[in-house]
Amino acid sequence: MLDAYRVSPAPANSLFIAKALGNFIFVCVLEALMAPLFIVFYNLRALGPAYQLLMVAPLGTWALVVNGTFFAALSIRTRAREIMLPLLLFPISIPAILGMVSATTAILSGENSARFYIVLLAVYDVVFTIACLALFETVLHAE
Amino acid sequence: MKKFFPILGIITLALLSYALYEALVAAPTERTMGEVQRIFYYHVPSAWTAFLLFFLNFVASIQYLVGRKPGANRVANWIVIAIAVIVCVAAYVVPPPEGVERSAIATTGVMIAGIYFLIRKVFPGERADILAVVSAEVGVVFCTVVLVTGPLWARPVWGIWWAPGDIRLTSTLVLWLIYIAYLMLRKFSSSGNTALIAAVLAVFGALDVPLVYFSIWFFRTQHPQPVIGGGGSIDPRMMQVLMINWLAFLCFAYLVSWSRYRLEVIKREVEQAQGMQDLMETRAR
Repeated sequence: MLDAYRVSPAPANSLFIAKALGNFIFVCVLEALMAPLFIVFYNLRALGPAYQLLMVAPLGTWALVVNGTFFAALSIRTRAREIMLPLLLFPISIPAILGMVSATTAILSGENSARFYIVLLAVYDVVFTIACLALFETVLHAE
Repeated sequence: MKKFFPILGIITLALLSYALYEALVAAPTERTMGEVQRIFYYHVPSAWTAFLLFFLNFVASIQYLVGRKPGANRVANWIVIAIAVIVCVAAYVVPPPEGVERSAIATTGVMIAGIYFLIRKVFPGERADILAVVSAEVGVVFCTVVLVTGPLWARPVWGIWWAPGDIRLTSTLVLWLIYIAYLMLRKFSSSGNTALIAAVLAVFGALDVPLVYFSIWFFRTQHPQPVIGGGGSIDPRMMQVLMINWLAFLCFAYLVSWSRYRLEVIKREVEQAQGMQDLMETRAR
């Protein structure tokens, strides 16, 4: 399938954004279904400002999805691609995962402000979205 | 150049022995931590050397990526110059973090641009990729030394081997993991596009680490404050020993990188010759 995209005159970045958005919406729907279940079964109650979770969730999801899409395209170019994808994606995603976990902990426990972690997530998103858009064409056409 | 190699080897050996003596015998014993503090003379120079090598890897990877297109190359040059200018201006306009000199920030900005253009001059085209491999491999070794000596020191001093959630420890571990992934990727990618894909990953890794690393300015960490540019204080004699050790480690890293670089160049030449020979044989048939 990817070879068909590669010969088409469509810009590489539009393919990337479409893929990333598709994944993003899919994961977001899943989260919207799962979050109420978790809240009910674990009897969660946010002691901090709960509305901030509505910022953490999309920012964190985008952070995972944008790199996931990019590295999926990259790892196709390798042998043993099923092993390579998590191996590459995990270290790159650690700052985002740390930010998400810390922000959620701060909101649920209400002990300190989650603002720093939300800003960290936002910076991570902006930096890596730009990097992905700048390098996706190179990866797609790598021979 | 070849005849300098044994000379450099002898110098490195002498420096390493002298640095070992200085660190284990001559340096004053730390008041609270005692003898265990001496591991500091291996931990810190290894960390600096590893960071330097990973930085070289990043610059070389950028060079390799932009070197393929003349337009991108020109844009990259201007971006590097712009970064140097912005850092210099910002150093004197924005109030610096506590304990960091304004001139040090400005010098760093200029040095980054200097290293970029130096590497561009010395390692053009394919050579940039070889430099990237070499610096990643040697850097991983030094980073491993950091991650081994750190817990050895932490166990008697903190009482724990590893402080989970500590941002400095995490960032070093992330760095190590990224470069392990980098080396794995080089091993597992199909031969034609290894250099390109590895360079892309190196850029991502290099974007990742500062994000974690600079957050130490906002957190209190368990790790001691950096000796340079972090408000940590140190005995001048200890500083001297530290610097001698760093010099010795740098020489050693240079020696190892040099031989690895030669090896990689020869390996690629052999591969190329082999490819040519195979081509000729198919033609002849």
